[in-house]
Amino acid sequence: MSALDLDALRATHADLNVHASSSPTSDPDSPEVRMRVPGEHARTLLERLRGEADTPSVRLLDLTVVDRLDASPAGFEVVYRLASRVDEFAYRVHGFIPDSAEDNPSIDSVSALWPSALWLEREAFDLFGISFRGHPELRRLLLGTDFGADLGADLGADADLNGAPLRKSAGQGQLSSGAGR
Amino acid sequence: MSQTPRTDQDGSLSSRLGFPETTIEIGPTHPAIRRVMTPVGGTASFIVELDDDRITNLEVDIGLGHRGFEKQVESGSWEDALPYVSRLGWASGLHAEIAYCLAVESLAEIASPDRAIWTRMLVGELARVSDHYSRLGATMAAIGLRDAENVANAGEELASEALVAATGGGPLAGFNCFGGIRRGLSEHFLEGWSKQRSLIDDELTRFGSVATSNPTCTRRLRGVAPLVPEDAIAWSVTGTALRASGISADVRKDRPYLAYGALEFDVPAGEQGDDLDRMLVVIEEIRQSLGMIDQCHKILSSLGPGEVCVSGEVIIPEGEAVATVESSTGELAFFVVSDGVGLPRRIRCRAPSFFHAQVLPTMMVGARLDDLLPTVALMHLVSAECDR
Repeated sequence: MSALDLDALRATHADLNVHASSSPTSDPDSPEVRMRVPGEHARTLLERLRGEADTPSVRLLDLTVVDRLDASPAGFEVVYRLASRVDEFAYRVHGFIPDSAEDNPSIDSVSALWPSALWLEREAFDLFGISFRGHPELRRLLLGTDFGADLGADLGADADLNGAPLRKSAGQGQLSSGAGR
Repeated sequence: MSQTPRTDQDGSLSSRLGFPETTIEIGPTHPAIRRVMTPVGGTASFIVELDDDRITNLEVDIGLGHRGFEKQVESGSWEDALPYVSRLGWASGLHAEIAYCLAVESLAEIASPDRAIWTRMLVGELARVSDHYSRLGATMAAIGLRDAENVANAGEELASEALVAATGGGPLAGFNCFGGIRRGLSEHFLEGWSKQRSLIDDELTRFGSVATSNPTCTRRLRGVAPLVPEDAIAWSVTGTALRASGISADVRKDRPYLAYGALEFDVPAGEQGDDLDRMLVVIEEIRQSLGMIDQCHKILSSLGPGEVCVSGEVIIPEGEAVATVESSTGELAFFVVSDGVGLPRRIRCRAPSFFHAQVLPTMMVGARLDDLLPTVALMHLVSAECDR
């Protein structure tokens, strides 16, 4: 992906405060375009990238979370990996959710754009305690019902392997009320 | 057969007799009994709602094999993760190992020697042959064709033997390291390959005569659990299941890693996206993989013994990288994030089985109960990577 394309992307999505750069992959000829946006704009950007058609021309390859505990500002990045149907390009969108004392970390669900996000968002909720607004059935996926509020989101960067207390104490009530499968 | 809709004007037998809809739970079972008892062993538990033997609703419950893989590998050094990564699949674990090494290598900006690149492709294709044969065996077991199952299992056995000869320890040999592979292929393997290859090929011919040209098998699988291309895209299905739906997407062709760009091979595609198409794609891929192994074997024989791994300490700087490979289960990717402090910040594995488990209800509602097992076998759910 040339620098020109990145400039064009920044210009197209200027209203969403997008930071675009290039990131390496296993195929040196096709790096991923990394786009960092504030969490509240992530869904809008993804909707634009997906296109208008009934059948998406862009696939959602993966959705995951990176806990930026030590960054400044600290917070969660929800990472979406997209590829066009014929794999001409690949995007990686990082939606940033800053830590906040009052609110649970939350972001808009993209399950209406891609049904494959249904389980991916449940997994992120299960393991990181992120709430996806508008998800039709946000409950634990991988962990069992016996994982209550005290164990919580075990993939957070500050959780040790024994499930030590988390900094996201505000998120725990949310998790326990949504738990159960 | 299975696609013939019921025409009883009075509804199903159950409703005429006044029985309520039945809900049964299939599984969970222990992953290790997969080969002996059922092709769905361990991966998931299926809660099936039935009207007569028609599936009216299906819930797939995964997570029984969740062992916190991502948290485990993030708690040690980058190298410590390798043995865990190999265990993401019984044969496709080698693909995961290659993907993880490629991700770390692009982060550290190191290039493996040519010998390592060609060897990685060779063992990767061998693992694919073994895994694809095991999938055929599980499918045949699910529809009760024991002779075809035995042929497929024999093919898997032969491919595994070759893999052991090549890596020194089969799929869990700890074969890859950052910057290459731990040891070159043995003379024993290089000399014995052409004989082993013809044996593996023979099983494929035999499988053709007992399965693909056998109406008992083809009519059983034709039209079962079709997956239309639109659904396959929307649900992020990859690998053989995507290609069986008519979309010839393959990472090895579209975004070639290692030296796949220099190999000659075809990407087979189906038309109807049903179980039969999925099986035919798997069979053709075994044939293509054998051709690829021949090409790698020729290059490696001409390269001779020599350096297989870069020397010196691997320093992993701050950054992010993605590596995607075409594993035998589908598109397997590692997304790695480094803070530059020596420990990984994030290691994410995109596991194709996860998506294939999720799409099952879309395919199975309306099908018959006994179509579930062959479909699960052909979608190839691997518990270790699905649940992580």
